[in-house]
Amino acid sequence: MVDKKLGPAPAGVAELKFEELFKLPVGDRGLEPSEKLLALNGKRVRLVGYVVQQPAVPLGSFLLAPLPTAISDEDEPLADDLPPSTVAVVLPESLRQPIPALRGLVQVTGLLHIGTAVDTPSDRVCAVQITLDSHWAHKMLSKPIATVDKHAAAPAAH
Amino acid sequence: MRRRQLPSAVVSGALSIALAAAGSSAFASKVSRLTPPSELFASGSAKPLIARFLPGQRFDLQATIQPDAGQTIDSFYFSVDDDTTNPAQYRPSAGVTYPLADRMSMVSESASPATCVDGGSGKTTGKSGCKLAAGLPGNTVVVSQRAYSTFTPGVHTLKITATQSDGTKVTATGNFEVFDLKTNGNAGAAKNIIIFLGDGMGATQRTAARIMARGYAQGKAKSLLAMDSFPYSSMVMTSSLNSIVTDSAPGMQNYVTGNKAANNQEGVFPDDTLDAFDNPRVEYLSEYLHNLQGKSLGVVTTADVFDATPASMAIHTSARGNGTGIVDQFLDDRSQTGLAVLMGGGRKWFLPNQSDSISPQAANGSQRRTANDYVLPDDVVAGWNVARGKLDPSRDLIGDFQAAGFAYAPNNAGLTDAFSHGVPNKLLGLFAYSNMNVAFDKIAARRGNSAVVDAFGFPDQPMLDEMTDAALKVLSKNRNGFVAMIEGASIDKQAHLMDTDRWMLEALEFDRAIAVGKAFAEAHGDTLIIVTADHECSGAAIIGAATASATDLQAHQNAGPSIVGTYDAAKFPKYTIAADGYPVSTLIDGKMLIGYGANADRYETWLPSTFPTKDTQQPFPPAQSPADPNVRNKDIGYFISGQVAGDQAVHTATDVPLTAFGPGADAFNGVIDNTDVFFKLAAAATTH
Repeated sequence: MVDKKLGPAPAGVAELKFEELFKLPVGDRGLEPSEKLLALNGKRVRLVGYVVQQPAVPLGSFLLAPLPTAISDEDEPLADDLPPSTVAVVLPESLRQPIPALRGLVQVTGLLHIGTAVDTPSDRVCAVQITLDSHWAHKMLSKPIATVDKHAAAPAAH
Repeated sequence: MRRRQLPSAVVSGALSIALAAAGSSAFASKVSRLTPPSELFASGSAKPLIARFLPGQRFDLQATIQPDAGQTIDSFYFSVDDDTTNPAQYRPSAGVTYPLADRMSMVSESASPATCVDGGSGKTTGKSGCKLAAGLPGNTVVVSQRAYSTFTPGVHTLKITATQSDGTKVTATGNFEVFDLKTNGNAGAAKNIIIFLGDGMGATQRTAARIMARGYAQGKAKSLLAMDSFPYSSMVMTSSLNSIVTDSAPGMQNYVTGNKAANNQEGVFPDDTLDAFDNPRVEYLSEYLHNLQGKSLGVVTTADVFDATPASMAIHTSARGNGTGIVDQFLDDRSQTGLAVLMGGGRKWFLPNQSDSISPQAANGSQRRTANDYVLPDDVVAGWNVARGKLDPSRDLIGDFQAAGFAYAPNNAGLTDAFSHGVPNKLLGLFAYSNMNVAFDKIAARRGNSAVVDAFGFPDQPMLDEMTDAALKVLSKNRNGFVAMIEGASIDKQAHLMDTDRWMLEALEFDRAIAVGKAFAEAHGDTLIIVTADHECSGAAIIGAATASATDLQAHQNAGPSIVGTYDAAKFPKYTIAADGYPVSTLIDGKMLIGYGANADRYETWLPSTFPTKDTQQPFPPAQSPADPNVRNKDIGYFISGQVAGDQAVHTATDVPLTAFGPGADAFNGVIDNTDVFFKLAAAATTH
């Protein structure tokens, strides 16, 4: 989770922002990967974004988007309000477990891969995947899986 | 008119038995499903009549037959009104061939892998690669006769007669009705039909939009919305074939086929096969009027164009989520539907998805997949004269639309460009990857705050009234007229999210599109318009207005009920409307407040959903944000416990208002079923 200002990315990790993934605005047809994204294919990156809320707890991978968004749990999930730059974040093979609900800004560090692949939990084809570094995956999985306890008092706003 | 006979046709063939000898229970023969559905078949009662059709409207006949244990089905025929005078085989007559055998079929697991029938129970398994749904006796056969129609008005009996290998007959009887157009007035008065569909738009959503957009003074609305100004109205019952609470698929398709569909299904009745595109079809209004009169079809939506409402004007499938097949079928079957305009979001389905084995990788955002594409069986292709389809994720569908004569607009500037050399004959507009951004965010962009549309990469999306104007210009080139459906899709989507301010602006955008339609109808005089909804969403209720100022609301986001002014305290919320037709701000002193009767758990702040805090770490620099960095998208607001599980509000079964304008509009009176609307529209469009 990102609760305070992030320091610089560690050595060997490139800082990447969603607005840098594809040429913006989108042209007449499909997304076009930026030079920076192509150069980082196969390299470790750090990306900051929001975990897309899904109706069912996803197993082994989740979606990360530049804005807080959700996939509908009632109407047609594939007619969605996800920004096209949404990426799939995949946990290492040995850690294919239910993903805890994370609200708010999160940082993701891992290996970048460009290429279409189906993200099974969300049933979507994703153009970009990041395989989460092991130690971040362990840290994330240590958080509770259930959605935030809504019966607890909401933090007071000021 | 000469009574049209149904030539009976028989399909013969030996079927191998797919039933384990030991351990299988004995199943008595029966017909477990007869389509079209009827209460006569289901319970023996002749009423209510479930399936109704226009004279000459095509629909499929189908039956699921469970033979006796150890038996197969050798032949079958359907007969209407006990007419079996024709011999068993179809045959040429007077030089005319009745090619019915090619539109008849039998589907079973007889040639399937052994995994399709469970050895122990003898029942079908429904596994991938099999033909039939799970849980049926292993020797079940689904028999079909495609694209039947009759012109004789009245109630008809439908009988299936199947002959087992031992000679025993298995039969069942149902009924259906053919509508007598002569009982309806308004013959042929409407050349054009426009259906404005406010998804999820019940009475509350309409009222709230009026209060916001027009304002009230001493109890009187200062003026009416365009949708309010139509002179005729009905209340519409919206249930689907299988529930009092519908989803958007039957919610739309019931209006334009005259028949009930099950939830998630479009242009079809349920069946017992696994294939989602082979279900028994019902002819759409668009297909009927295109074939009869040469009318064009226009489909305009703010949603992804594969979504249920737009798809339910033209597509036949039992699975509304089959995006690749749905968008392909829009183009492939344009000779049946007359499709001339398709606009909305959903570009992700139209881009080629190259195989993963191709290098360099194509990372273009395509969602095309073999898993949700279509290939039709022979009997449907022959019976309906439609394209077979192909499993082709690498199809360049935009290119194919262009090759078919469609001008392509990727954004609002492109939409204007498409008209730079005159009005195009056909128009495809794909303005977003999936759903278009909502009016709240599109208008923010036009006013200088483009953070959200920029994050999506589509900064230049048209408003629905601009899309409607373009669509009507193209469609009205057809001298035979057109059927158009214009959808305000995200009234529903934002109501699911209980984001009050956003669905209100969706309703305003929708009404501005209706105003464009009304102006068109007033200029043309031959256009029937209805404004309706597929269902209500979220159980929304106008509970009052805030007793707090806008500043107070922002400062105390968990104030909850303490600031809800009910009864006299609600007064008349006053929104200032800008020159662009939308409120300067929805966050006003004394803003209108909405409660939700079909809600999930939520934190209510009485504000639009918050956006990320403004700081340099954000992926994008959004401007709509709380200034205080402590308020960082955690759960803030007053906790309200919901009646439904999950995170989102749900559809309700409440009747919805429909208002109508133009020739044939006076048929819309009283409380009607959504399937009744189909017959009123068709009656207005046809001479009889």
